[in-house]
Amino acid sequence: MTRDDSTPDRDFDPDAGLHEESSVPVNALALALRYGMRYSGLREVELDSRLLLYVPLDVCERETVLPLSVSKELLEVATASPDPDIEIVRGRFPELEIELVLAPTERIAELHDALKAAV
Amino acid sequence: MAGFEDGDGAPVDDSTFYRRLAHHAGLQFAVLEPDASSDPDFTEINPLASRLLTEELCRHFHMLPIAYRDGVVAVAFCDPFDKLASELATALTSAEVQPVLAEPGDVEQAITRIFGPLRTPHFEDLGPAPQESPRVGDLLVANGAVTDEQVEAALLEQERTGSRLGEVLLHSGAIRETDLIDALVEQFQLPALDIEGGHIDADVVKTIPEPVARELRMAPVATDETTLYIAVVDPINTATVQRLREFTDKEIVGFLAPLSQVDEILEATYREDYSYLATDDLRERSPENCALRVVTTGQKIFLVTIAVVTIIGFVLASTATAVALVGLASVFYLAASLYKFRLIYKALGNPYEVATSEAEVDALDELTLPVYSILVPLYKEASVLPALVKAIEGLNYPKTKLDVLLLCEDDDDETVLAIEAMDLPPHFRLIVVPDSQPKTKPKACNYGLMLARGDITVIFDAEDRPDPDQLKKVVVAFSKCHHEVICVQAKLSYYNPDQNLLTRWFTTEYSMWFELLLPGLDADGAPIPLGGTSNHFLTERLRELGAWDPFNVTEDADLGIRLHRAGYRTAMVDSTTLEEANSDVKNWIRQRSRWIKGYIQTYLVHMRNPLLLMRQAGFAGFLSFQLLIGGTFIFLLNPIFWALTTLFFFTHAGFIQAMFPTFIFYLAAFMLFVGNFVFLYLNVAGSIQKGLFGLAKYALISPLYWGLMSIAAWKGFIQLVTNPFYWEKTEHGLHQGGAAPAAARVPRAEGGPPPMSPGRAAADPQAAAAPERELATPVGGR
Repeated sequence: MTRDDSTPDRDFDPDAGLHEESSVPVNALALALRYGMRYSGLREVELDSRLLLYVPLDVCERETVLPLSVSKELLEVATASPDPDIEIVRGRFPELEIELVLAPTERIAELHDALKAAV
Repeated sequence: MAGFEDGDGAPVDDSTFYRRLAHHAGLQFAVLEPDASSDPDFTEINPLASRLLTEELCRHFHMLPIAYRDGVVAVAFCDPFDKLASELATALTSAEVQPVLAEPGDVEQAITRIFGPLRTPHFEDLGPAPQESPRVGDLLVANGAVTDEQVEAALLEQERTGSRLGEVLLHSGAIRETDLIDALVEQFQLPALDIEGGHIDADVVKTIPEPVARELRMAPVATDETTLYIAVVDPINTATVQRLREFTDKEIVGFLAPLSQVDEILEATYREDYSYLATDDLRERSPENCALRVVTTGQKIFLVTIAVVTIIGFVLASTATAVALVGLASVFYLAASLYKFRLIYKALGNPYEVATSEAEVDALDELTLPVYSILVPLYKEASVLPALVKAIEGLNYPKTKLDVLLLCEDDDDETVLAIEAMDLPPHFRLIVVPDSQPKTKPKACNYGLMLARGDITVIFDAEDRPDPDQLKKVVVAFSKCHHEVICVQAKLSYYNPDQNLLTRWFTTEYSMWFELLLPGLDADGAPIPLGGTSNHFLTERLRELGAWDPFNVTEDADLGIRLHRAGYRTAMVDSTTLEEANSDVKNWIRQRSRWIKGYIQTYLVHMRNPLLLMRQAGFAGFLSFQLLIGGTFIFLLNPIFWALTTLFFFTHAGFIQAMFPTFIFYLAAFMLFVGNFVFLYLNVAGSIQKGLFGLAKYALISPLYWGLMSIAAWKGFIQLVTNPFYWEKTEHGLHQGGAAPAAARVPRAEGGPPPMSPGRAAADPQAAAAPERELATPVGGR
């Protein structure tokens, strides 16, 4: 059986030897470990609705992503999957580096709701 | 984790954020604040450019045009990726838009500097023109189209009705559509559509679905790789663009056009579709409700079985069979008469009318009145047009909320040309129904219904003279009725009752129907066959029901039954429409034969599944249907019994005596003497209840009228077999004096139940009493 590298491994046991005390769902963390990506539980996020100018809300909801911060050269985006379709962002900001940070799906969704309420 | 960090982790201010966003997006950043003129990004706003978009639009989308050069408008956005805002700016400025990024606060302050402090709280209330733009009234005065006095008067009506000033002036006849378009072009700085005689590709028009185009009052007229060009009655706003985004991704550019032109484009494109639906929609949606098939296979088997059994009966035992048939007929007569007795008795305690006082009518807020569609099917009736228009113009209803559809047939050049020559105000629309079979009034009405804009739709015949307050009374009535009521009918009466004996009978018949029988049916919870005119429907409910059956020549009676079966109800309002009573015997027989044929059609259609009918209408409703609609067959039987009676008097033929054994004889005698007396009494009482005292004596000789009805019944019955969808044309304008009287307020009845004693009818008058329905055109059927 062949496997697409971008497809999460269903047989992978992310709990094995990892953060048993964590209340954060483990899937995102497992993915981060598997793909060697950064992980965040998004516990200390300060929402800034201006960042939706970088990643529109509809893209956020469709792809389960959330812009976290932007600096001169880097846009940090939380994502529930390792390979979200954010081509529209890359197209709009071709010079801007985008760093993906894996995060729990539920937490991203909560923050979407909070953002929508704020907007 | 902060949203925007600048080295030390602290969120940055808007200025830095948006400058950086502009840098990331490769856009120009603009500082708009005049105090910051030393800032290298400072951009001075061109005041003329800034007014290319309305204040409301700018505030809603946080954008502002700041420069205009070489056909390119620089627009400061807070969100450079807001596609909708960008498209709106492009569509409304009719120019290429160059996005520039600016801080939200900066843009808001700039908007306030340009337009003044915020005045309009809701974007939805968008008045497309900014306050400083010339007003349409001023422009029309400046153009010499109207006087200041006309504008002042129109402003008062605008305040009362909530209609637009331009439309008020247009519907009052003060200006023409071209005047209004010229003014709007100037006001909105939008181009006007100029395609007279040009070809419009139907595929382009169909880019936007017809219901949406009609709702938004627009029609796509052309397209290229990037842009869809649309004829619009109203300047495009955000909501419009959002709706259109479901159907096209192209840039949208609007051109102002009069509503009549948009209507023409849509109708030319969808003409064949409308025609098909007008004819076949009901048949496809519920073939069991369509009279296209006169009798079903099951009905054929049933009728053939009855015929065979009868023939066998006559062969084996002719006298016994004849006695059985006479007995059955007598029982049916008796049942119909008893039912009539019951209806009249029930009517005594049931005010069917929805009471509407003058105070309620006067208290109606015209701002909230619904748009009212009036369907008027016409065929070769050019001569009655002036009186028709006068009657409609006399209706006490805001003209801007009237939608009058004059439905003409394709081959009726005379009427079409006459309407065109009248140069009617825009609330009148000439609709030419394409030539197709069957050419019937219901098909024309179905066609018109598809184009109707009203929340309420009413049908008037060409010669009708409705009570001027009728529409408002119906609005009041609907507001008082239970939600099951989807149709309110007005009473019908005649403006020429005294022309001759026939018109007098006709009038007494109507009086009995509206004053006595309808209240009885309502009290009984029975299905009510509707009359052909002055029925006011909730438009959407009517469409849901499939509207009228184009193959039924009493489509209104059929609709009344169908409506009841669907769980809806009707009501009556105390308002009268005056019609022309048929004064010519041949003309009367033609008309009546159509009615009776239609009632038989209706009976056959709804008896295709008697159990279902009983379940939907209830047992009482089912029984009522048998005796009321099925009672039409009595007119076919009458001549047979009259002939037998006459023959017996002259010959004392033994076989006739044998057909009437004692029990049957007494039953028949009872029906002859008592039943006939009661029926006469009802005709008299109906006339008196209606206040037509002078006609009461003519009701006493109405048995002669029944003879005519039987002639018409046999004509209709034979035609049902030979030519079922043939529409017998009724001629109008036969009354003495030529022109019909102008519409007049009909005195309000005092209300309450009819002041009469219950009686019993010997013959069934209901089919004869069915309100008049009017013609579209006679055809030879399918």
